[in-house]
Amino acid sequence: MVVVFALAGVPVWRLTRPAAAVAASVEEAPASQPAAPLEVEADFAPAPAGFQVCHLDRPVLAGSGPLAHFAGRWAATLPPEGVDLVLTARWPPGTARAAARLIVRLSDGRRAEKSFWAGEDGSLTEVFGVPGTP
Amino acid sequence: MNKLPFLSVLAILAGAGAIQAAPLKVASLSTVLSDFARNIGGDQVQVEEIVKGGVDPHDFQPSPGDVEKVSGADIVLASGKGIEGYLSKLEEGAGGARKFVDVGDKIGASLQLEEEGKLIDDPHWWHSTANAGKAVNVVRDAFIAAAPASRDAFTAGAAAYGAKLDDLDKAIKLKVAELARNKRKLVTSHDAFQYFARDYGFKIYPIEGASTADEPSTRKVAELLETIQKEKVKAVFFEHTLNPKVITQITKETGAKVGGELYADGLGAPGGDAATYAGMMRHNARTIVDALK
Repeated sequence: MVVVFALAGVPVWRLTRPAAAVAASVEEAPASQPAAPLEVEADFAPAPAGFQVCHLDRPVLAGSGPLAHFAGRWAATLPPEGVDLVLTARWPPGTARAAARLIVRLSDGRRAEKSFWAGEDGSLTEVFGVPGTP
Repeated sequence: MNKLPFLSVLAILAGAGAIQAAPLKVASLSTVLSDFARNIGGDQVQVEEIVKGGVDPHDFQPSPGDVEKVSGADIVLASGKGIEGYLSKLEEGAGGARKFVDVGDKIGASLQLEEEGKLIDDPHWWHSTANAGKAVNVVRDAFIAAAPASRDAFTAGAAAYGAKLDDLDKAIKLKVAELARNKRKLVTSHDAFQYFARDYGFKIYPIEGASTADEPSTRKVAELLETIQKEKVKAVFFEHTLNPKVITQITKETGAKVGGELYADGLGAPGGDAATYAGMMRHNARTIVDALK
């Protein structure tokens, strides 16, 4: 039973390990509005076959294995209402208990983060809400 | 008396498996609850829809034939929270309140609306999939209490349908994520979507109040015109009960288009894309998001 619990914790442990960062694709804010850059990070256990983080169908961060940690800067104007990001990721079929963690650091020091679990088919599609300016 | 033939028959039946109980007779005053009942009960229930798809529950009044059907039912499912203004009379006509299940009351805390200067419970609880999940559990428990022998079937039916509601909630969230948060402003005929607004981050600007019987005042319409222009709302959503002159005035003076029909008070007619609870919720989400994008 102890072994089972320990094995179940492996994906979570892997999410917290520091790993190489990968430069991300960046969505530019409209030139007429001042942009407050957000730091977007995505961690996976195990490394995904591919993933994308999108805002209104436009990629904010994307990548694929064998790396498991990705980070990038998103030059976005965060509206007072906040934004919804959509994370899609896939792993090879049969991958057991794949997990992902998304972290967004706002320019004012606040941070939003959440973990997600993939389905049995090795895919994940989730909405992640980033709060707006207080 | 020789009891052997009787005992033999019983033994044969017992050997063949449990004697099949007659389905539980369920009368439903809500199309949403009818759908839940079928999904939970399967062939263990026989559902009689007293209020049918496409009928406005705010206006519905039961006929003598409806009272008779309710009298013959084992369980009567009511949406509750005051939407069935005739409920106490129906209970009286049907021989008492004992078999009536006020689902809205049992799912707990409500949002509140202001109507004619006082606060009332918002009766449109089904526009939240979280509330729908609670309602499924209420109906399941009522079925089990009435037919304990079918406990396993009702429990399995409710669990399977609960998983579908989780998928439905996720699908709606994904659809709504296509719409920027600052565009989530919903102008509707009557104030029926506050639970949807709460769960998916919309602000509601209703033309009428909580009931389709309400009429908007001139002042209310003027305030709404100003709001639509100020907030740059692209589309407005109406039901057939609203005065067409109000629709014309709003669209003409603001430039907002008619976004489409929403199902506010229950399911649509059989065969349509809103004939089930999941279909209705998906239809509403799709119609709203596609019109406001």
